[in-house]
Amino acid sequence: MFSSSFPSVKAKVLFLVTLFCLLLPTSLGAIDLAADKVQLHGFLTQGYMKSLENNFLGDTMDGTFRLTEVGININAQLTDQFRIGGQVLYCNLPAVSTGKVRADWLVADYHFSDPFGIRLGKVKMPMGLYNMERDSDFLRPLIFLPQSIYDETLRDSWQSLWGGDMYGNLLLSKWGDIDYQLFGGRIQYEDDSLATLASTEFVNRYNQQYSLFLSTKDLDRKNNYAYGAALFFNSSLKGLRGSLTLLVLDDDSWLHEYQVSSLRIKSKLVASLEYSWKNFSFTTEYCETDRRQEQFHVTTLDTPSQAWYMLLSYSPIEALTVSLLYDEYFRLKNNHYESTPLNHYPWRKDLAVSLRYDITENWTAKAEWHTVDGTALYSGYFNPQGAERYWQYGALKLSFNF
Amino acid sequence: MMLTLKKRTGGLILALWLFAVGPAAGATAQDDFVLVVNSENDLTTINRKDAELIFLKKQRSWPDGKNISVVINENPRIYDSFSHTVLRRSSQQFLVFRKQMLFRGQGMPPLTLKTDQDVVAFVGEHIGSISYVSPDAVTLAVKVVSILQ
Repeated sequence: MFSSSFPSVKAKVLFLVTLFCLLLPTSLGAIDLAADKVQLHGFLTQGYMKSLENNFLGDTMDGTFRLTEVGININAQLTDQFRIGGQVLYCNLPAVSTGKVRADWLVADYHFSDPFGIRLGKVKMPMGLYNMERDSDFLRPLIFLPQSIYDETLRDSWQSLWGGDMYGNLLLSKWGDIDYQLFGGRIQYEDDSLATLASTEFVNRYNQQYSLFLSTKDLDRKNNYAYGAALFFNSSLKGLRGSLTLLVLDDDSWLHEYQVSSLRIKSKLVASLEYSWKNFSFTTEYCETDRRQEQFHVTTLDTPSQAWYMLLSYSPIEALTVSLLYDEYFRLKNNHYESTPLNHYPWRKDLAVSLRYDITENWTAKAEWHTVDGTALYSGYFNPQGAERYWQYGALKLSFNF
Repeated sequence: MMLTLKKRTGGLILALWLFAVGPAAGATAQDDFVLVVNSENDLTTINRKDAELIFLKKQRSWPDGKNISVVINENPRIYDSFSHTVLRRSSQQFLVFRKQMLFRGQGMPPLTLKTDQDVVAFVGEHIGSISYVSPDAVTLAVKVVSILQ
């Protein structure tokens, strides 16, 4: 079911270039190419994951080392206001576009003034607190972010878009300041992204059900538009931060000239709160996704989902953080258990404990274990023989960045 | 008699309090580091919030419109203190912030130097620059700016 793709030549080249860069002596972790006006940075991560009772994101019950990310970025500050930059990314992950080098972000950025700047190109989409750094393991507390909001199967698709954003910072007198972003454009779905594969799977099921012979070879998933906004509030109260993000998008899947399915996210709204006090940090986010899904022009879903989590972290020393996560997702906001608790596809409840150790400024090690009740969010796809209600998964990961 | 006892008790409580908070008060950021700009810069005082926005690269130009060049001083004796006092976050949180800016594609992190001497030399040569150093590292090439809370 899951082909083990071998890295392409490009990927190998990228890997070797990264290794070369890692061996270079660096002061700030950066490689300054032209008096600090041009900088080269990058990262390399390798992990191991294993699940019990169910597969998670691929064939994970036997354990897998398919948890590799390599990224290199370059930035050039051409004038005080104008910057260009880009990051290429190679991933070898279960369920996400693999074995390819792709542009993670690619921007031309003009900063008119502190309250107003524009970026054009492939820009990261803000969604909650962590969506923009999902490829950079060392920037987040957990290896696997709360899946209720940061669904790993959409990671490669809903992270950036071709288009642009307006951004800036607004000072709110004694209350603090706000960073804002307004973005719009189109998402590019890779042929081997899970979003595309899910459309293929649906057509295959339709073939079986109605004894049809529709070929999925040429199935194409397209995004018609995506736009949204984000407000990040940095309170004057020390340690308190909040955010509100909105995403709207419209997708179609086509088989030649036939539209086989469509998905319209009418609104994906995430409200977030983060508070740090002494050695403790508390983060919580709430999300509602109002969506309408059609298959062969028949509406199969037209209702919001609901998700939330809370994450409590404690750092006995600055380099070490222990976190406890509780995360809930319900496919239907207004009918959590869809009338029958015997069917465990409508929900997913995840209790996790994690450990993060920053060995140096450049090296980070992480370990975590999740126990899950429920099989929402693609467990059925990864476990075609039937998914167990109670299951577990864990991972170890080592990251280097410069 | 009662008044004397109250005074003595009050004095004892005050002495205990001073003893308890003394070491922490002695280690305030004001003693650990000073903000410095180029000696030709007109700036003499700065609000803490403005300093925070400048070092987070959210405020990028001086009042005269010229670009601000931020320098991070990684001298371990003052880095933590600066981060807690001016940015109101731990040095680890500040490091993550700078990396977020970079790896999200939102900007280039500021120049980072390792020692007070390197920082003083850089700020002394670049008119639009700002950084922080140990008080005893200040020379005529740079000017100390007071932080208003």
